[in-house]
Amino acid sequence: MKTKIALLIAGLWMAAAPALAHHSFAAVFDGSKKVSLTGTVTKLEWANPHIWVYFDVKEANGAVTTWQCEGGPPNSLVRQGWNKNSLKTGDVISVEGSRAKDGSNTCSFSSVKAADGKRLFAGQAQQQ
Amino acid sequence: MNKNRFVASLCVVATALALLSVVAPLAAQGRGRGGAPPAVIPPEGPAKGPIPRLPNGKPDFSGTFDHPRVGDVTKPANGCVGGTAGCVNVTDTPEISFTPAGAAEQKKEPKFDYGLYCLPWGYVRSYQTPYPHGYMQNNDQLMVLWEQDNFFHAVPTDGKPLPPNTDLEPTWMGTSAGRWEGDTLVIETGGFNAKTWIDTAEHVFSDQLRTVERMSYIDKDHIRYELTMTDPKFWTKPIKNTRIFSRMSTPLLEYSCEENNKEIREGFYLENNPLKK
Repeated sequence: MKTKIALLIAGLWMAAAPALAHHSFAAVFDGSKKVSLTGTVTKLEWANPHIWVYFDVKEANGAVTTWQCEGGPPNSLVRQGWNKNSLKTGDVISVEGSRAKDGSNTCSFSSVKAADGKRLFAGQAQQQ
Repeated sequence: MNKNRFVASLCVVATALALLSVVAPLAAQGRGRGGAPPAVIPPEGPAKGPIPRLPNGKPDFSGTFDHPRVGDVTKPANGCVGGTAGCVNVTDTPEISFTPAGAAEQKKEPKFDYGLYCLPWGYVRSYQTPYPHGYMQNNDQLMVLWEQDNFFHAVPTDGKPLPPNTDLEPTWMGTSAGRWEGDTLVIETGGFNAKTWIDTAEHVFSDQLRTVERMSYIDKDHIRYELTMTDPKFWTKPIKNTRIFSRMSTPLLEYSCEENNKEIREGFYLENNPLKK
């Protein structure tokens, strides 16, 4: 699978920022460094203050890189109808988000889609 | 706080925590309890229809309420964080007028992101978070329960005046004193430690901050909430917001900020941490 890291103009970060509740988005992530990734889920941490999704991304040259991306908190996601079983190990997902400022394979996701195109963890109450 | 009030506070908090422990499996989409929300924020006045009342006849605000996400007190906001309808924030302060001392403090960068470390969000900002809040109330006090970090704050409603800030212990959430003006609960709060911001936009305030909140029912499912903040050390004019809170039919949920705080535990935030410099 292919990794695309696109550098876009700042301003779009607001789409992801509202998902963050316990820290300043700009303190951790760079809204101008957008990432678009497809990979296989290895672990889901369903815990406050953010859920974390771990997944392996296969590069064009066959190398596998591991990514970790954070989303909203369980209390908000549960209120929207999601739960700890919404994403399982082995699921293939497509993730869009903003990369961490430290350059590690860490992101804050604004979108997670399953292989069938179904959007996961969407419709968070904070997005208003 | 006298012994009886302290015991009463503990009972209220214990009950709230018990509720929090059993509600997670029941959680579902937050929905209002019916009734169309007001199209605009009406002036303070008598509620439409019957409202819940305490044994002493005063309005009883107990319950779970949705609020608007207010990231910046100088901007309006619409919509409820928990999925109900009718939450609004109207600001009378499109721009904060800083004193020279306030302007100098506001310009300081970087600011310490205390929320990242799961420290209290502060009294004003806790009402503006992405998660709902609740009230538990009796004749003697109002207990405010915020889902954000599961913080609480006790407001005595016995009408005793709030001492000046110089006589109050500095705390994250301040010290409050409540009094009734008819069916409006007026809460004055001071004694802040000034380690927080008034909003996510990182607007700063000083140890001279005082807030006055006026809470009244619009109808049984909607609260009119008026917040006026004064800080003569940092601001030349008061900051005022007026909001509508909408009753929810679902309870508050658990939120443990410390549980999986990877930014701190794994250090990838620390490159930008002013404490590290």
